[in-house]
Amino acid sequence: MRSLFLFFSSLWLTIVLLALSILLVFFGTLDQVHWGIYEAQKRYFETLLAVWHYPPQWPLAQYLKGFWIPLPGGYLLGALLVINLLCAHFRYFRPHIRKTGIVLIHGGVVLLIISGFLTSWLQQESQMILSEGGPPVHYSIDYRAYELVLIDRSNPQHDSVTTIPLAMLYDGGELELPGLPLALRTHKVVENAGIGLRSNIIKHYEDLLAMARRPDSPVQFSAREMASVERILAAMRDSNALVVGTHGDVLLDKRGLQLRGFADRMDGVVHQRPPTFKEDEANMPAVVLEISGPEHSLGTWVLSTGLVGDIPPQFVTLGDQEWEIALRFKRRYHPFSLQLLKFSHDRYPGTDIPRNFSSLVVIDNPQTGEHRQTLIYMNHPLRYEGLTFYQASFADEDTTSILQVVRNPGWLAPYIAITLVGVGMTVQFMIHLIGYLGRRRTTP
Amino acid sequence: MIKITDIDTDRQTGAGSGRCVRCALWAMPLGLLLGGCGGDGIETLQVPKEEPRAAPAEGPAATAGADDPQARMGLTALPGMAEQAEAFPAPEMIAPAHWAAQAAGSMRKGSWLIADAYGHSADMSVLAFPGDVGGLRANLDRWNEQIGNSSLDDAAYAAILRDGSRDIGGEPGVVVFLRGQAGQSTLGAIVAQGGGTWFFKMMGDTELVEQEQALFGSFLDSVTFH
Repeated sequence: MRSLFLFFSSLWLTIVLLALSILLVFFGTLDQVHWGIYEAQKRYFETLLAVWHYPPQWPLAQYLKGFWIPLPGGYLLGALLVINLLCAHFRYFRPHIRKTGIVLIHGGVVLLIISGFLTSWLQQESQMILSEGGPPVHYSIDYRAYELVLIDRSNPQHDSVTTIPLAMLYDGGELELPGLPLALRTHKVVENAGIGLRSNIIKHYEDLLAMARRPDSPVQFSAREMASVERILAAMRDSNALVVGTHGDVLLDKRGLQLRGFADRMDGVVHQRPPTFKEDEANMPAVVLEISGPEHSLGTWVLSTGLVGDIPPQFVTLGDQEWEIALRFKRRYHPFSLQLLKFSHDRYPGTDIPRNFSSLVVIDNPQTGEHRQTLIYMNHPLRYEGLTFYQASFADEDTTSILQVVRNPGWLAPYIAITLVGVGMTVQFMIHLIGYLGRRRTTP
Repeated sequence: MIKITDIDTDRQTGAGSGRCVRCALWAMPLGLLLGGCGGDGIETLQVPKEEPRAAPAEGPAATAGADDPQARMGLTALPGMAEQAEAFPAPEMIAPAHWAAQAAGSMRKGSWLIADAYGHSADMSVLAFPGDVGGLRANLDRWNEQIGNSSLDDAAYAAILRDGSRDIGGEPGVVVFLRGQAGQSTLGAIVAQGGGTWFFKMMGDTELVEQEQALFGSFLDSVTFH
């Protein structure tokens, strides 16, 4: 036990951990170019173990493509740093008034690392989209998460929404729905897909090939790319193909499936695409889902977050009960609503340079009886009911406001941590300064 | 060179070192426990009523639509569909004066809101889709489904073909009135033209839709495709 304590309290360990942290930040930053900031954060900092692979676009990639470096992830490094700091503190620290500043600094650093963990685990981000003159909105949308929903609209007072996280559908087994006489079975899930009418997709690729084959075409395909498009086209022309892979392999055949809804009525087909990691893009998953009642299968539906706009909603019926089914971006419902009265986009006079964005909204909370206006603008978010609403963006020629909604129960912790460190450094400095000045006065 | 030594190694007590290591050992399972928290499961929520997506909204490539993530995120999940729909130019149409024009889009070539003094309302849309979109019967079944009716049987479908055929913009089309079970009905016309299928659809309160039948016919008479 003693040797373990000596190890965890070692200053050499501190140096090694800090050096590994620098390496982690370095390699994470390199990979962020490829994966995007969100994915790089998950792969390097919100994990116990990270692995860096030699990028295929770098020189000598044909020889080094299998080269990889394992690194302790952010969670592991953070935990070890906290343990190291606490152990070193108990090992070396002797209580004395002159060490007050050091205690505060150490406390602040520990709190800062812990607040990072808390934020990583507990923070939820979503967006609320409000239109001028539009109805009150009581939910925000998380574009990084997906849910299957079954909506019962039979009650005139409210809708009953059963939500199933998309992650639960990846298992492929039978999933009973609590409270509903239905069970689900997934035939296929793809993380990102295009979805449309077969005839339209075929025409799209035929036009693409025809354009690429013209000698003056601005679009130049390699032989491999042309072959890939031709394989996709061949797969799409197979009327039994329901889910086609990225390079034209048929991932799911519709034979044996009792298709309903969009896939049946409109000859819909799913085309898998590589997942995107760009910050301003979202993956559009698709799922082929069989729904069963108590006695038999009710059919198989193709659902996707891409089935919006003019594609009509899909329904499943059992006896006199009906549910609208859809795959959508996850909604976070709130016990209150916001309604946009006015969005303002101020520009500096005579220019198009934005000066200020602001949203005048009405908060309506039936639980507290609140009904009041408030202004949300840059650097002045609305903090309400444990959520923070930031003015993030706008659209539709300045008639739609997009608010970033953040739930972070530990949001105060970093501020307290930095304050502790600052106060601790000030206190320690003053202790040394006063001592030094006192010695100077007594020195002849 | 700075040499770092572990100072005071002979001054540590077993109690202090053991306490610290125990603290550290407690932190790890706590971390794992917290790491396992926050997972989502199946939930059933009661939420305020929302308008069901019965009336088609803007297409995926349109810029309108508050809940359209694709337009906001710069995506096109329906390859070629919106672009091909844009290739169908909106026909000339003369709408009655009391039809309130709404914003159109890439696939929605015309959009109106109709209301009367008794609080009844209906949505009138003109849409174009490339191809046959599943065929006439499938689309009539879709319209029926939207207003709570079951699919057409053979006799009903034959009656529609017999009684509902009419010229729309110089092309043979079909007009149909579908009476719903829950106070909503659909008055619509479908015609193939220019490599696509055009949908002229009024859907809303039955009392209002019934009254608008004659004006709907006049509207169809005014349609001129380019």
